[in-house]
Amino acid sequence: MAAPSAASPPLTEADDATLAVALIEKNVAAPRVAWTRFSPLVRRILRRSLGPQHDVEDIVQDVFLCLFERVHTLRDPVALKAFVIAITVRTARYEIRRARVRRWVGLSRTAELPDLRVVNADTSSQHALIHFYRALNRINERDRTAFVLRFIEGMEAAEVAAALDVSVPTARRCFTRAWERVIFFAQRDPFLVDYLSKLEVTSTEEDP
Amino acid sequence: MNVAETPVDQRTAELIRLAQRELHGDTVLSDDAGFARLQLRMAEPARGWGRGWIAGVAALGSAAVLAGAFIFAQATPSKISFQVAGGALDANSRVVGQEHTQIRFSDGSEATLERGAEARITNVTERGAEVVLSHGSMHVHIAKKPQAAWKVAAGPYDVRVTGTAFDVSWSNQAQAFDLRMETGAVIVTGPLALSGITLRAGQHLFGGVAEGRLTVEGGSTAAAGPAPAVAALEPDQPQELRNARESAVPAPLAPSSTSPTPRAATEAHAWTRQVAQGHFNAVLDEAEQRGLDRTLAGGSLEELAALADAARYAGRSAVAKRVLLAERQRFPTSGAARDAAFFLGRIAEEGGGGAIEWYERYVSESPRGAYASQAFGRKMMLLYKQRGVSAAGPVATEYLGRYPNGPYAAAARKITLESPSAPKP
Repeated sequence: MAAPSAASPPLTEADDATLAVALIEKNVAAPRVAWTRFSPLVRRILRRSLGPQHDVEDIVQDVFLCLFERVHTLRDPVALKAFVIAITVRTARYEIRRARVRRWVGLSRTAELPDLRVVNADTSSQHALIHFYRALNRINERDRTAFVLRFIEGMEAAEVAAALDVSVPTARRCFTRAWERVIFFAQRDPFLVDYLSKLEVTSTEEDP
Repeated sequence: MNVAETPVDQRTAELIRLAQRELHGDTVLSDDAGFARLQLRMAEPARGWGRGWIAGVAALGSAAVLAGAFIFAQATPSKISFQVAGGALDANSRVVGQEHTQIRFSDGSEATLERGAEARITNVTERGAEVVLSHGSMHVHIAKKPQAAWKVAAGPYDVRVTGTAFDVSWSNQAQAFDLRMETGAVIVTGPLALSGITLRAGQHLFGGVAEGRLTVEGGSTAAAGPAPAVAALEPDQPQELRNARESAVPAPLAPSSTSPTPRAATEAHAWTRQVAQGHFNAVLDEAEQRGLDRTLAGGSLEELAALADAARYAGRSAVAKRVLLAERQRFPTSGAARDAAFFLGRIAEEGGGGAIEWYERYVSESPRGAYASQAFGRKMMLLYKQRGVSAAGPVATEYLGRYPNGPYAAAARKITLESPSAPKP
């Protein structure tokens, strides 16, 4: 493994391209920097892709193990972040498929309250989140992932297409189709209808 | 793309905002502990299927995924290891807290000791370990794992743990125990809690033998699980112990307007709590075991309201309709009975007819009720679909007058533009 150069600026302050090269050259400091820089992003995408009832810590680690193993295949070091996102998305899609199979074969857990960090004690919003992801569970995993990346992560269509390894028009079709399906299922979920109705009342009452 | 153009778009956008707010990249696990776990996994010998495993798994198809799911469910992990950062482990597996002393376990769990706190690690297995706090305070984060088996002992108290985070302290001098839950759930056993007290996120348990009582505070929505103390009281126990154990029960909810018996009130609260926790079918099963007719005829208002919610959320519309009608018949002046009109309208929309009439009844009974804008909007849309723009136009105008920024305002504007008789906004 190559040791960090004493003359170069600290890797923690280096740009993504330099970090990518350091990872490829097996610089001993690089994995830690990559972990600190990208683990919040990876964790967030996984949580938003998989939903509140999924423990993602092990999967975050799987993503980084895969990154360190495959970083030598990265053609453009500048695209390190996109590479990390692509691995995260592929891993999330695999987990969605696996969770679906686990549900089919009866290995899923019963619907428990999500183990969310206590930011507020708003049980109804936590349940609304569970019901929202139940609606997403009924959408095929590519469309669902496109929806999450486009609308929850706020990515551009081209970024979604790159993460899913499809063309931009295909990505657009995926997230548009998912949007319509989410609306369809959410309108038929009494819990979500109630929850959103109450929010609308609150917001209407707050209007001047 | 504008994601909030129509009422349904606005509602979906609200769900997206909820996901953005709640599902973030932060973690209760420290950056150091997370990377330490990663390093341990990096040091493991490469698995045969390591390279290109994603592509490989994708290609294997559903049969392999099925097999993988079973293998995953039955896999046996290796024994947990741990290291101490900012401190040292003596020959008796004892750690004394200094500045930033942290015990980090290979599964991602960690215990952070306050200065002067003393803890020992014992009974380390592949599924967990026992952390014994002799005195002082520590913050514990246990990684959530299938079949995790962790125990934290603080003085004479045992805390059984799966995936959770909490602060725990024990004072030998004051014989005082204190536990503040952050996430997850634990069961505490010990003096004054012989049959176990379940604590959930946000709750705080404190007290001890010297004080003669244990008290649970907070967590009104994440209710304590099976009420532990009252049910477990034994008649031959000293009165002060009985009092102490009773004090470990969270404060009861406000009494319902029908003044039910204490037992009925407990059951009603239990149903409300079960609905809040999403256990809709459990409430329905209990009601059916008791007899639905009997429940409808004799249940308290709180029970009926919880049962109606459970039935609606579980998609049992026929049961929900019966319960809501019983609410209106037995408790006609209650707020729940007035709200029932709106829910009956929603059920009627799914089939059977009469939705418009139920919405009209709701608005006349509760013109400023929580669902008034919904009832107005839904009535307007139903009139538009069933009787056309001429019937919906006046309602649309009234809707815009009442709720100019309401969820159906865009639709109401379109209807008024189409309507020949309605005044233009």
